Amino acid sequence: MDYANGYSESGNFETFEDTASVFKAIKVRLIAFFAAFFIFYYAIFSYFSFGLVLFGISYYFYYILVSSIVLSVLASLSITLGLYSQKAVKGSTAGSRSGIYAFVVSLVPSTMCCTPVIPSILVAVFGSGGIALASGAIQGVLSDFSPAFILVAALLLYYSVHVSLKRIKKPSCEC
Amino acid sequence: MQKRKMTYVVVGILVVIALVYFFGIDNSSGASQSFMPPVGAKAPNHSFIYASNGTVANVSSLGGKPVLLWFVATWCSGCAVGNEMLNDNISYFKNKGVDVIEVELYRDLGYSGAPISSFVKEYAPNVTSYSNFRSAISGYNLSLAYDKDGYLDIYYLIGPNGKILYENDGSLAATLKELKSKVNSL
Repeated sequence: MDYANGYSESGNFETFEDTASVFKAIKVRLIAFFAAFFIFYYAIFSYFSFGLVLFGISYYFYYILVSSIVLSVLASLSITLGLYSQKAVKGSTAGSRSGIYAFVVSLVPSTMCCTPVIPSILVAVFGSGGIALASGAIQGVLSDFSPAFILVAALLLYYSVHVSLKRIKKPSCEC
Repeated sequence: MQKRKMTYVVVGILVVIALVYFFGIDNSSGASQSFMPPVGAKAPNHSFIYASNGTVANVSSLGGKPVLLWFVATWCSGCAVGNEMLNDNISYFKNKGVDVIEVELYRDLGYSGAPISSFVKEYAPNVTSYSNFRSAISGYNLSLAYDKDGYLDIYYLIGPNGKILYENDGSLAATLKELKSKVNSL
Protein backbone atom coordinates (compact mmCIF):
# COMPACT_ATOMS: atom_id res chain seq x y z
CA MET A 1 0.00 0.00 0.00
CA ASP A 2 1.35 3.41 -0.95
CA TYR A 3 1.72 5.66 2.05
CA ALA A 4 1.05 8.68 -0.08
CA ASN A 5 -2.28 7.46 -1.40
CA GLY A 6 -4.19 9.82 0.83
CA TYR A 7 -2.13 12.70 -0.44
CA SER A 8 -2.25 11.86 -4.12
CA GLU A 9 -5.95 11.09 -4.05
CA SER A 10 -6.96 14.19 -2.20
CA GLY A 11 -4.46 16.25 -4.14
CA ASN A 12 -4.56 19.02 -1.61
CA PHE A 13 -3.06 18.63 1.84
CA GLU A 14 -3.32 22.31 2.58
CA THR A 15 -6.90 21.67 3.58
CA PHE A 16 -6.43 18.10 4.76
CA GLU A 17 -7.14 18.02 8.48
CA ASP A 18 -8.53 14.59 8.90
CA THR A 19 -5.79 13.04 11.02
CA ALA A 20 -7.87 9.92 11.41
CA SER A 21 -7.51 9.07 7.73
CA VAL A 22 -3.72 9.43 8.02
CA PHE A 23 -3.70 6.96 10.88
CA LYS A 24 -5.96 4.67 8.91
CA ALA A 25 -3.45 4.69 6.08
CA ILE A 26 -0.49 3.88 8.34
CA LYS A 27 -2.34 1.58 10.75
CA VAL A 28 -0.82 -1.75 9.73
CA ARG A 29 2.77 -0.54 9.68
CA LEU A 30 2.21 1.43 12.86
CA ILE A 31 1.14 -1.72 14.68
CA ALA A 32 4.02 -3.72 13.19
CA PHE A 33 6.60 -1.09 14.17
CA PHE A 34 5.06 -0.76 17.64
CA ALA A 35 5.31 -4.52 18.19
CA ALA A 36 8.92 -4.60 16.96
CA PHE A 37 9.99 -1.62 19.09
CA PHE A 38 8.17 -2.90 22.15
CA ILE A 39 9.83 -6.32 21.93
CA PHE A 40 13.21 -4.66 21.35
CA TYR A 41 12.97 -2.17 24.22
CA TYR A 42 11.43 -4.64 26.64
CA ALA A 43 14.09 -7.25 25.87
CA ILE A 44 16.98 -4.77 26.23
CA PHE A 45 15.61 -3.16 29.39
CA SER A 46 14.84 -6.52 30.98
CA TYR A 47 18.23 -7.99 30.05
CA PHE A 48 20.02 -5.13 31.79
CA SER A 49 17.50 -5.02 34.69
CA PHE A 50 16.96 -1.37 33.85
CA GLY A 51 16.03 0.71 36.90
CA LEU A 52 16.28 -2.13 39.42
CA VAL A 53 18.41 -0.21 41.92
CA LEU A 54 16.57 3.05 41.31
CA PHE A 55 13.03 1.73 41.74
CA GLY A 56 13.59 -1.45 43.74
CA ILE A 57 12.52 -5.04 43.20
CA SER A 58 8.80 -4.31 43.54
CA TYR A 59 8.52 -1.46 41.04
CA TYR A 60 11.27 -1.65 38.44
CA PHE A 61 9.15 -3.97 36.27
CA TYR A 62 6.58 -1.17 35.90
CA TYR A 63 9.37 1.25 34.99
CA ILE A 64 10.54 -1.10 32.24
CA LEU A 65 6.98 -1.68 31.04
CA VAL A 66 5.96 1.99 30.97
CA SER A 67 9.25 3.09 29.39
CA SER A 68 8.97 0.39 26.72
CA ILE A 69 5.36 1.29 25.91
CA VAL A 70 5.94 5.05 25.77
CA LEU A 71 9.09 4.76 23.65
CA SER A 72 7.52 2.14 21.36
CA VAL A 73 4.38 4.19 20.75
CA LEU A 74 6.36 7.33 19.97
CA ALA A 75 9.07 5.56 17.93
CA SER A 76 6.54 3.70 15.80
CA LEU A 77 4.57 6.92 15.23
CA SER A 78 7.80 8.73 14.41
CA ILE A 79 8.84 6.20 11.79
CA THR A 80 5.49 5.59 10.14
CA LEU A 81 4.48 9.26 10.06
CA GLY A 82 8.00 10.17 8.92
CA LEU A 83 7.80 7.73 6.01
CA TYR A 84 4.27 8.88 5.19
CA SER A 85 5.25 12.54 5.20
CA GLN A 86 8.38 11.93 3.11
CA LYS A 87 6.33 10.21 0.44
CA ALA A 88 3.57 12.76 0.62
CA VAL A 89 5.78 15.80 0.93
CA LYS A 90 9.35 15.97 -0.31
CA GLY A 91 11.61 18.06 1.87
CA SER A 92 13.17 18.29 5.28
CA THR A 93 14.16 15.21 7.28
CA ALA A 94 14.51 17.05 10.59
CA GLY A 95 11.92 14.83 12.20
CA SER A 96 13.68 11.60 11.25
CA ARG A 97 17.02 12.94 12.54
CA SER A 98 15.55 13.66 15.95
CA GLY A 99 14.02 10.17 15.88
CA ILE A 100 17.48 8.63 15.44
CA TYR A 101 18.95 10.79 18.22
CA ALA A 102 16.07 9.71 20.43
CA PHE A 103 16.79 6.05 19.71
CA VAL A 104 20.41 6.51 20.78
CA VAL A 105 19.50 8.53 23.88
CA SER A 106 16.90 5.95 24.95
CA LEU A 107 19.51 3.17 24.92
CA VAL A 108 22.38 5.02 26.61
CA PRO A 109 21.50 4.45 30.28
CA SER A 110 20.57 0.78 29.93
CA THR A 111 23.50 -0.27 27.75
CA MET A 112 26.23 2.00 29.12
CA CYS A 113 25.65 1.49 32.83
CA CYS A 114 26.90 -1.65 34.52
CA THR A 115 28.56 -2.98 31.38
CA PRO A 116 32.28 -2.89 30.58
CA VAL A 117 31.79 -0.39 27.75
CA ILE A 118 32.62 2.76 29.72
CA PRO A 119 35.48 1.18 31.74
CA SER A 120 36.98 -0.09 28.46
CA ILE A 121 36.80 3.36 26.90
CA LEU A 122 38.36 4.96 30.00
CA VAL A 123 41.14 2.36 30.04
CA ALA A 124 41.79 2.94 26.34
CA VAL A 125 42.12 6.68 26.94
CA PHE A 126 43.63 6.96 30.43
CA GLY A 127 45.00 3.49 31.18
CA SER A 128 44.22 1.10 34.03
CA GLY A 129 43.76 2.12 37.65
CA GLY A 130 43.18 5.77 38.63
CA ILE A 131 40.38 7.14 36.48
CA ALA A 132 39.27 3.64 35.44
CA LEU A 133 38.55 2.95 39.11
CA ALA A 134 36.23 5.97 39.11
CA SER A 135 34.16 4.92 36.10
CA GLY A 136 31.15 4.87 38.42
CA ALA A 137 31.12 8.65 38.20
CA ILE A 138 29.70 8.16 34.69
CA GLN A 139 27.91 4.83 35.07
CA GLY A 140 26.29 5.72 38.40
CA VAL A 141 24.90 8.95 36.96
CA LEU A 142 23.48 7.01 33.99
CA SER A 143 21.88 4.60 36.44
CA ASP A 144 20.39 7.23 38.75
CA PHE A 145 19.27 9.62 36.04
CA SER A 146 17.95 7.07 33.55
CA PRO A 147 14.39 8.49 33.75
CA ALA A 148 15.78 11.80 32.46
CA PHE A 149 17.28 10.03 29.44
CA ILE A 150 13.97 8.29 28.75
CA LEU A 151 12.18 11.63 29.07
CA VAL A 152 14.59 13.33 26.65
CA ALA A 153 14.21 10.45 24.19
CA ALA A 154 10.40 10.70 24.47
CA LEU A 155 10.52 14.47 23.88
CA LEU A 156 12.76 14.04 20.81
CA LEU A 157 10.37 11.43 19.44
CA TYR A 158 7.42 13.67 20.20
CA TYR A 159 9.15 16.47 18.28
CA SER A 160 9.73 14.07 15.37
CA VAL A 161 6.03 13.09 15.34
CA HIS A 162 4.98 16.70 15.64
CA VAL A 163 7.14 17.77 12.67
CA SER A 164 5.86 14.90 10.51
CA LEU A 165 2.24 15.69 11.32
CA LYS A 166 2.84 19.35 10.60
CA ARG A 167 4.36 18.52 7.22
CA ILE A 168 1.49 16.22 6.35
CA LYS A 169 -1.12 18.79 7.26
CA LYS A 170 0.70 21.70 5.67
CA PRO A 171 3.18 20.64 2.97
CA SER A 172 4.23 24.21 2.24
CA CYS A 173 5.67 24.75 5.71
CA GLU A 174 9.45 24.79 6.08
CA CYS A 175 9.41 22.28 8.95
CA MET B 1 25.76 16.25 3.17
CA GLN B 2 22.53 15.07 4.72
CA LYS B 3 23.25 11.48 3.70
CA ARG B 4 26.77 11.68 5.11
CA LYS B 5 25.43 12.85 8.47
CA MET B 6 22.91 10.03 8.51
CA THR B 7 25.67 7.57 7.67
CA TYR B 8 27.73 8.81 10.62
CA VAL B 9 24.75 8.44 12.94
CA VAL B 10 23.96 4.92 11.71
CA VAL B 11 27.63 3.88 11.93
CA GLY B 12 27.75 5.35 15.45
CA ILE B 13 24.73 3.31 16.49
CA LEU B 14 26.25 0.14 15.02
CA VAL B 15 29.56 0.79 16.81
CA VAL B 16 27.74 1.24 20.13
CA ILE B 17 25.76 -1.97 19.60
CA ALA B 18 28.96 -3.81 18.68
CA LEU B 19 30.73 -2.47 21.79
CA VAL B 20 27.87 -3.51 24.02
CA TYR B 21 27.75 -6.93 22.44
CA PHE B 22 31.50 -7.40 22.64
CA PHE B 23 32.00 -6.12 26.18
CA GLY B 24 28.56 -6.14 27.74
CA ILE B 25 27.12 -9.54 27.06
CA ASP B 26 28.17 -12.12 29.58
CA ASN B 27 31.49 -13.80 29.25
CA SER B 28 30.21 -17.24 30.00
CA SER B 29 33.36 -18.90 28.72
CA GLY B 30 35.09 -17.69 31.87
CA ALA B 31 38.18 -16.72 29.94
CA SER B 32 40.21 -14.39 32.09
CA GLN B 33 40.93 -10.87 30.93
CA SER B 34 44.42 -9.43 30.92
CA PHE B 35 43.50 -6.99 33.69
CA MET B 36 42.75 -9.86 36.08
CA PRO B 37 45.43 -11.75 37.99
CA PRO B 38 45.74 -15.08 36.17
CA VAL B 39 44.16 -18.34 37.25
CA GLY B 40 46.76 -20.42 39.10
CA ALA B 41 48.54 -17.37 40.49
CA LYS B 42 48.69 -16.57 44.18
CA ALA B 43 45.74 -14.32 45.04
CA PRO B 44 47.12 -10.80 45.62
CA ASN B 45 47.13 -10.04 49.32
CA HIS B 46 45.46 -6.75 50.14
CA SER B 47 43.11 -5.60 52.84
CA PHE B 48 39.39 -4.97 53.08
CA ILE B 49 36.97 -4.07 55.85
CA TYR B 50 34.12 -6.32 56.92
CA ALA B 51 30.92 -4.28 56.76
CA SER B 52 29.32 -5.99 59.73
CA ASN B 53 31.87 -4.96 62.37
CA GLY B 54 34.50 -2.78 60.71
CA THR B 55 37.23 -5.39 61.17
CA VAL B 56 40.15 -5.05 58.78
CA ALA B 57 41.13 -8.34 57.11
CA ASN B 58 43.26 -9.34 54.18
CA VAL B 59 43.00 -11.95 51.46
CA SER B 60 45.72 -14.19 52.85
CA SER B 61 43.74 -14.58 56.09
CA LEU B 62 40.95 -16.32 54.15
CA GLY B 63 42.96 -19.52 53.66
CA GLY B 64 41.69 -22.97 54.58
CA LYS B 65 38.48 -22.94 52.58
CA PRO B 66 37.54 -22.02 49.03
CA VAL B 67 36.39 -18.41 48.91
CA LEU B 68 34.29 -16.61 46.35
CA LEU B 69 35.50 -13.00 46.20
CA TRP B 70 32.86 -11.00 44.35
CA PHE B 71 33.39 -7.31 43.49
CA VAL B 72 30.32 -5.09 43.13
CA ALA B 73 29.12 -1.49 43.14
CA THR B 74 25.94 -0.78 45.07
CA TRP B 75 24.36 1.41 42.35
CA CYS B 76 24.72 -1.36 39.77
CA SER B 77 21.54 -3.13 38.63
CA GLY B 78 23.47 -6.17 37.40
CA CYS B 79 25.05 -6.55 40.84
CA ALA B 80 21.57 -6.36 42.39
CA VAL B 81 20.45 -9.20 40.13
CA GLY B 82 23.55 -11.14 41.18
CA ASN B 83 22.48 -10.68 44.79
CA GLU B 84 19.05 -12.07 44.01
CA MET B 85 20.72 -15.12 42.46
CA LEU B 86 23.08 -15.45 45.40
CA ASN B 87 20.10 -15.27 47.73
CA ASP B 88 18.70 -18.37 46.05
CA ASN B 89 22.03 -20.18 45.95
CA ILE B 90 23.78 -19.34 49.21
CA SER B 91 22.80 -22.72 50.69
CA TYR B 92 24.50 -24.40 47.71
CA PHE B 93 27.78 -22.63 48.50
CA LYS B 94 27.34 -23.44 52.20
CA ASN B 95 26.89 -27.14 51.40
CA LYS B 96 29.98 -27.07 49.18
CA GLY B 97 32.03 -25.43 51.93
CA VAL B 98 32.58 -22.23 49.95
CA ASP B 99 32.72 -18.89 51.76
CA VAL B 100 31.31 -15.91 49.90
CA ILE B 101 32.64 -12.40 50.39
CA GLU B 102 30.82 -9.66 48.52
CA VAL B 103 33.16 -6.70 48.26
CA GLU B 104 32.08 -3.16 47.47
CA LEU B 105 34.67 -1.75 45.06
CA TYR B 106 36.83 1.12 46.26
CA ARG B 107 34.57 4.14 46.85
CA ASP B 108 31.86 2.36 44.88
CA LEU B 109 33.88 3.11 41.73
CA GLY B 110 33.59 6.84 42.24
CA TYR B 111 29.83 7.16 42.62
CA SER B 112 28.19 6.81 45.99
CA GLY B 113 25.48 4.17 46.23
CA ALA B 114 23.80 2.55 49.21
CA PRO B 115 26.01 1.07 51.95
CA ILE B 116 26.94 -2.51 51.06
CA SER B 117 25.05 -3.94 54.05
CA SER B 118 21.82 -2.18 52.99
CA PHE B 119 22.36 -3.27 49.41
CA VAL B 120 22.71 -6.92 50.46
CA LYS B 121 19.73 -6.66 52.82
CA GLU B 122 17.57 -5.28 50.00
CA TYR B 123 18.45 -7.80 47.29
CA ALA B 124 19.67 -10.85 49.19
CA PRO B 125 17.92 -10.79 52.56
CA ASN B 126 18.55 -14.47 53.31
CA VAL B 127 22.32 -14.51 52.91
CA THR B 128 23.12 -12.61 56.10
CA SER B 129 21.79 -15.50 58.16
CA TYR B 130 24.38 -17.84 56.61
CA SER B 131 27.73 -18.10 58.32
CA ASN B 132 29.55 -18.51 54.99
CA PHE B 133 28.54 -15.05 53.75
CA ARG B 134 30.06 -11.69 54.60
CA SER B 135 29.99 -8.31 52.94
CA ALA B 136 33.02 -6.06 52.87
CA ILE B 137 34.44 -2.78 51.61
CA SER B 138 37.52 -2.72 49.43
CA GLY B 139 40.60 -0.63 49.98
CA TYR B 140 42.19 1.03 46.95
CA ASN B 141 44.96 -1.55 46.60
CA LEU B 142 42.55 -4.51 46.65
CA SER B 143 40.41 -2.98 43.88
CA LEU B 144 43.53 -2.08 41.93
CA ALA B 145 44.98 -5.58 42.23
CA TYR B 146 41.82 -7.48 41.33
CA ASP B 147 39.96 -5.03 39.10
CA LYS B 148 42.35 -2.38 37.82
CA ASP B 149 40.13 -1.66 34.79
CA GLY B 150 37.13 -0.90 36.98
CA TYR B 151 34.79 -3.57 35.64
CA LEU B 152 31.61 -4.21 37.57
CA ASP B 153 30.39 -7.52 38.89
CA ILE B 154 33.53 -9.68 38.52
CA TYR B 155 34.57 -12.51 40.78
CA TYR B 156 37.34 -14.89 41.76
CA LEU B 157 37.22 -18.34 43.29
CA ILE B 158 40.24 -18.67 45.54
CA GLY B 159 41.33 -22.09 46.72
CA PRO B 160 42.26 -23.17 50.26
CA ASN B 161 45.92 -22.79 49.27
CA GLY B 162 45.40 -19.11 48.40
CA LYS B 163 45.66 -19.61 44.65
CA ILE B 164 43.11 -18.41 42.13
CA LEU B 165 41.12 -21.40 40.90
CA TYR B 166 38.64 -19.65 38.65
CA GLU B 167 37.67 -16.13 37.66
CA ASN B 168 35.12 -14.43 35.49
CA ASP B 169 34.58 -10.86 34.33
CA GLY B 170 31.03 -11.72 33.26
CA SER B 171 28.33 -10.97 35.78
CA LEU B 172 27.70 -13.46 38.59
CA ALA B 173 24.05 -13.73 37.61
CA ALA B 174 24.90 -14.61 34.01
CA THR B 175 27.74 -17.00 34.79
CA LEU B 176 26.53 -18.75 37.92
CA LYS B 177 26.17 -22.01 36.03
CA GLU B 178 29.85 -22.00 35.05
CA LEU B 179 30.86 -21.08 38.59
CA LYS B 180 28.81 -23.92 40.04
CA SER B 181 30.35 -26.29 37.54
CA LYS B 182 33.79 -25.26 38.78
CA VAL B 183 32.75 -25.54 42.44
CA ASN B 184 31.34 -29.02 41.77
CA SER B 185 34.71 -30.09 40.41
CA LEU B 186 36.61 -29.06 43.56
